[in-house]
Amino acid sequence: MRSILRYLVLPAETSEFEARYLARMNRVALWFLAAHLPLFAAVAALNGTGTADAVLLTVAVLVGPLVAVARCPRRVASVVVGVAAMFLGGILVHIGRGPVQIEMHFYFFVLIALLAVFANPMVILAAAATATAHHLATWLWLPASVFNYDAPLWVVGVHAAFVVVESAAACYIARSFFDNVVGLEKIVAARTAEVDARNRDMRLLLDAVEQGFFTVNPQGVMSDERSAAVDRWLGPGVSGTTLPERVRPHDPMVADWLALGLDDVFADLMPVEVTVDQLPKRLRLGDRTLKLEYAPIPREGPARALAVMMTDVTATVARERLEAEHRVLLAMVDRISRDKAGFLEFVKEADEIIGGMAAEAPDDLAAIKRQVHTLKGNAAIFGLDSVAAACHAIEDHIADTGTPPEAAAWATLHSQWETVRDNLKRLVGDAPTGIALGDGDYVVTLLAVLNGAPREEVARQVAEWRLEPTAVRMARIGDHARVLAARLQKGDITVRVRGGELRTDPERWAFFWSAFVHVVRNAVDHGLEPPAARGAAGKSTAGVIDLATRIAGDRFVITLADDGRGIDWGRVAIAAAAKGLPATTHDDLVEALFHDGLSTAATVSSVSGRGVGMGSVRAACLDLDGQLHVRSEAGQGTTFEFNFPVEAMAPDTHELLRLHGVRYPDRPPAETESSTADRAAPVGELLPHSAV
Amino acid sequence: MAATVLVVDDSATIRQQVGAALTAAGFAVAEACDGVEGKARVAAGGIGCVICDVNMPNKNGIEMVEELKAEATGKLPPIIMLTTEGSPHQVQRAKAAGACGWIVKPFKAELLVAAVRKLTA
Repeated sequence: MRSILRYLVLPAETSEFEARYLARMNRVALWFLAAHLPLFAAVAALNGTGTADAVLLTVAVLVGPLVAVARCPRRVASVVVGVAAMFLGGILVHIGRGPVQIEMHFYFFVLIALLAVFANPMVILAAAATATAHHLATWLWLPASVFNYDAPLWVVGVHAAFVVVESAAACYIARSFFDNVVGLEKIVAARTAEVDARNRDMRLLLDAVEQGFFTVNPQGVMSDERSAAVDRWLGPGVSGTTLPERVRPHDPMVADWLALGLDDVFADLMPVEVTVDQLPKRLRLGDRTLKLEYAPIPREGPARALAVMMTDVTATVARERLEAEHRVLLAMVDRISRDKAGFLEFVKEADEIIGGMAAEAPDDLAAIKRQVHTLKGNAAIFGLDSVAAACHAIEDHIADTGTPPEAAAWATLHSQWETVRDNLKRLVGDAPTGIALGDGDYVVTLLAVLNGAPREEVARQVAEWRLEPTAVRMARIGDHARVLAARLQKGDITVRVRGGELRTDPERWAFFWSAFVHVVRNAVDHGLEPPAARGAAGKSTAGVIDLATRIAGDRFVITLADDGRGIDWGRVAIAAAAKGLPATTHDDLVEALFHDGLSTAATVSSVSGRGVGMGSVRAACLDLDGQLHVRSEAGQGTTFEFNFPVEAMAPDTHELLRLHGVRYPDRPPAETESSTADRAAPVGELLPHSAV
Repeated sequence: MAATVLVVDDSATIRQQVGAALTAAGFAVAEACDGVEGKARVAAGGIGCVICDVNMPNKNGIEMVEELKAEATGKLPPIIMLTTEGSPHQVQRAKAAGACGWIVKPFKAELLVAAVRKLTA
């Protein structure tokens, strides 16, 4: 019952649209009712049923809607119009007395149907009640004014039944009309309010979260709906600004990649998972680091928009940096415990290189490349990957752009190096300089003196205190070769070190050994094949690197041999020709191989391949009055031989001993062979290929 | 029949890695070690897609794409550039020259294969 009542009675609230509509409909109805006056007068006149009565009755009825439309609420006015219409129907049946009186009843049914236009069931109900009351009252007291025959009560009932059925249908139509048309504004308003409430909730959420959320359209324009964090991080933005434009003041490089990447995402040439994966993932805003994540909309098919999420990962990055510094510290502890003197020497040299780079002319790219490459090799050999990576990034920049590195790249390198220096101070303090004498050397020399050993022998032993066995350098380089081979998936290689007892002046030879690392890195990176390829070529799967030092006549010889694929001399010739270098003879090609900046079609990897290292080796060799020879056969491997005057090993010591009649190193008078633990090694002969 | 993909890179390691990923996905692979060789191989025909390094001796990848575009008489195969993270301007130049897209080294094999599949479909 309550639901029927709710259906029949409209909600109390009247929308602006309904008010305007009813005002118009009530006015139209008033004109419609007013038109009855001449019509009824004419009907009464023609029918001879009293024109004056018809006019008077009609005017009396019209007063009601006239007043109601002018004074009453619009819905009430509509009800009055409905009631008045039924009264006019009564007048029509009254003045229509005679043969067509029954047909005049159609008026009631037509009018009740028309009243649905007010979209209000109460108008129908009021009209139907009025018609019913009129029929009953008239049938009782003025039957001739309603029926033209002596109608029984059941006839009144039949009329009433039609009115009820029609009224029920008219009520349904009126309410449907209200709900779906007249009341639509209210529905829309209600839903809008609901959406607004949701938007308010969403806004609160977006303002509260510590993440940046927004979308970009195919033109790269950022949505106005975005979380507050976005504007907080990127600064306030104007509507219609693209994401690259917002990012550019903070990081032009990321902005460039974003512009390119967004173009690609929406171009739909490449798969969206590829293009989205290549969008920048980090953005630096001063001290803050943001992680960028993306999701295409829709997930499948061509992207129509891109959802972007920004997360502040500054703390995570700081933790990663600390972990990296910790790794550096561990690497340093390991290296210092194994080879303190070597590490300190590396630090000294690296300090000189870094200091020297600051003094280089900023546009002397060749000098910068040489220095950075040497530092990279040395850092890698001592396990300082972060320093090596910073150097590699600088090399990448120079190779890609042909311009000097930007300040940020230098800052990264300096920061990494400062970390090393800080760690070093914590680990060893300020290292003392001078001779560090091992217990073994001390005892051997002391016993030699006590036992009255020959003067020459004692002199040689003491002289060697400040000279370094080549074994130290070769062991260090060999370790590095093994680590490098594992990293480059070259397998567990065999490194042979021979003849390490010979000694050199560590300071004088520091530059050469640093540069020599590049030859080893090249041999591992480009010489040795992966195990599978070696197996297929009939070789043992483990590659071999052979390091040796020996005395051959009056020459001090250092060799590095690998059993890899050998140098592709054809490719060297092409590269040399492209650089405008002579490429006719073997000597030309060897010369080209060591030319600064010439890459022998090698991978520009983190290890080698820029053609810088080999140039450094050549320079270091020439500095020590050395000669350089290369022998390489396709598939058989490559041997690099560096030979120097024996005196170059430690000129000051040699000279001092010579002045006192002591020959150093102690070697047979024939000067055809000497030293080294490996008596099987070829001695007294050098590689046949002359070179640099 | 699967398309033949030409891998142009001066690094034998990269050629081997790219080739292995594509071969496993059912593509035939041809190789060239620089822009000169790559250009000649494309001109010889039968290539369905090109994957090309940027920095190479003799003729770099961008020069190769630019020359192919300038001298093309018919439709060129789609070209994907392999590049490092530090060179957006090179990618811009390559795209202006007609490259369809780029893939940053070190690449993910599944994404490389997905790109070649789409471009050769």
